[in-house]
Amino acid sequence: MDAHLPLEDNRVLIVAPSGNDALNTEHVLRAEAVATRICQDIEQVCAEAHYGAGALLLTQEALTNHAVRHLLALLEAQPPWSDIPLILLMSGYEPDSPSFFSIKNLGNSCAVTVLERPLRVVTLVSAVKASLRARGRQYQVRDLLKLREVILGELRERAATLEASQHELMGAKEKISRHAHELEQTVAERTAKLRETIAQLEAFSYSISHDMRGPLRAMQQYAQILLEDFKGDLKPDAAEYLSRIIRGAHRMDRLIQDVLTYSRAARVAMPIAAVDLDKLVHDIVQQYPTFQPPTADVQVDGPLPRVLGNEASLTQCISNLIGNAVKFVRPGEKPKVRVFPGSINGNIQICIKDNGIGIAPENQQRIFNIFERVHHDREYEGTGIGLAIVKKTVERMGGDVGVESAVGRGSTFWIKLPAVKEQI
Amino acid sequence: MTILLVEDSPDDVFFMQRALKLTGATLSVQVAEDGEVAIEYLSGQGAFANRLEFPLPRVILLDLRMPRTPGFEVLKWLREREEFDCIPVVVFTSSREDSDMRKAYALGANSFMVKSGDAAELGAMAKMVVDYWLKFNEVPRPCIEASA
Repeated sequence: MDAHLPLEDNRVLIVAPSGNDALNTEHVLRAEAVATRICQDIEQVCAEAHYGAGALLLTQEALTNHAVRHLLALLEAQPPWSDIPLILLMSGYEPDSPSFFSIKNLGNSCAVTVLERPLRVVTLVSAVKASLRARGRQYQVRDLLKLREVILGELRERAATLEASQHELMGAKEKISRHAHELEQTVAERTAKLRETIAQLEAFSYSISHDMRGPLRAMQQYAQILLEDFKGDLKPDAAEYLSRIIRGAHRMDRLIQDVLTYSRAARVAMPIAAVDLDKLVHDIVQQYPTFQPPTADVQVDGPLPRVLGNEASLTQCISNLIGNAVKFVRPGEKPKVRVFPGSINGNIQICIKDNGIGIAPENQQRIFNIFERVHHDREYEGTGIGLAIVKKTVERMGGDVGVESAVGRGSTFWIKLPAVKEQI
Repeated sequence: MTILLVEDSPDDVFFMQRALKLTGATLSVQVAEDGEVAIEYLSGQGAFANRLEFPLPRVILLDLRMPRTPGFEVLKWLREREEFDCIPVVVFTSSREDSDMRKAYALGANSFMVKSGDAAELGAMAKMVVDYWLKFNEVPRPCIEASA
């Protein structure tokens, strides 16, 4: 079996039917290191050409009409890069002989070199080498074309991959935008729902403050009027009971108001700005007679720094805390309260220290929960909401609240808030 | 001197009438039990056609939350009419909501007071209203003559 070797690309296929022409030619060419193959007829040439041919060499005797037809068919079937050199060894032919027409015909289809016999070895060798050289160029073109095909194939593959990934990308993009749209919709729906809930809550607390407090006001005032307008007619017990009705109604009213304040602290907008704490605390102390001598001593160790917070809410928090500080003292003792600043990690701490009854460790967290109380109303009255309001409000301002205390040794409540970055 | 009390709660009407009486001032307190009646009274329609019997008030005490026509609508109706320009309106409500206060002032209320549950405090408020709006507050003379 003939394997197709690169060697065969450069061999010369020889057809020389008469005498020793074939062997002689082969001998001469091999001496010049040219590969050769002797073929018996044109059919064999066509078969061998399939495995590679650097050039074809035919003698005049081989150039029959039959052979020319086959050659033309072979040349016709060549790929575009191929132009097989054809060397014809003629001996004195005439322009009107059949061979002449054959040569003309073939010359239109390939590169024909005609050598006339007798010829010198050097002529034959140089003609064959020139043909092989030209053929070598064709092979280079063939290889380049092959390489081009490989590269094109690779490019096509990459283009396909690219297209696929682009397609995938588009799909993903579409998916993302669909998700984003869905998310937007969900957010819009939730926001609408939330707004509705807030509106309902507002309507609810509005209703509480108006409709529920109305009857309470009525109870309290009718009892007061009874006490006032029918003083002489009332037995002492009756007067006492009326006072209790008044106290009950009053307490209920305060409870409702505190719950409303708490729910407002949890939901209203709380714009944050720089607050002058020093002025705020002094204003509070001046505003409440219970924070002043002779009832209490509230000392402010100023100047207190400026903090980031909401002024109205902060006023409420600090009055609640000072209010607690003066309230929870041993009976008969005069409240002594000190307000002073501190700082932790760039945050401002406002401390409110009292000389009160103190808080047991197990109650120190509990007291910040809504409705949690440590004492009975007859000892220290209150609704159990004040500190919950403080906690909720301070947290909404981005701060923190806490207490350090020991039973019988007073308490120090503190509020921690972001400091104002002062410009120099 | 006439005060028009626009109030739907009979209890609150009773408390205010008592508080006004305790001020010792000589007053005629007219009561409209909702906004619609108040508008009828002020425009002298229907049962209120007789201005001698139902004179224009020197001050209006106006509740906000009332059935049918709420206080804000009365206020709006009133301030759209030139002839009532000099009748001060004191809103007297149980609401302490900022939004209610803003709206009341925007619509032309002259004062905003929150109902007290304490009889003594209510008495002080009534005294203040009478002293301020009927004694010290000045309005053009023709307005005083138009009212009684």
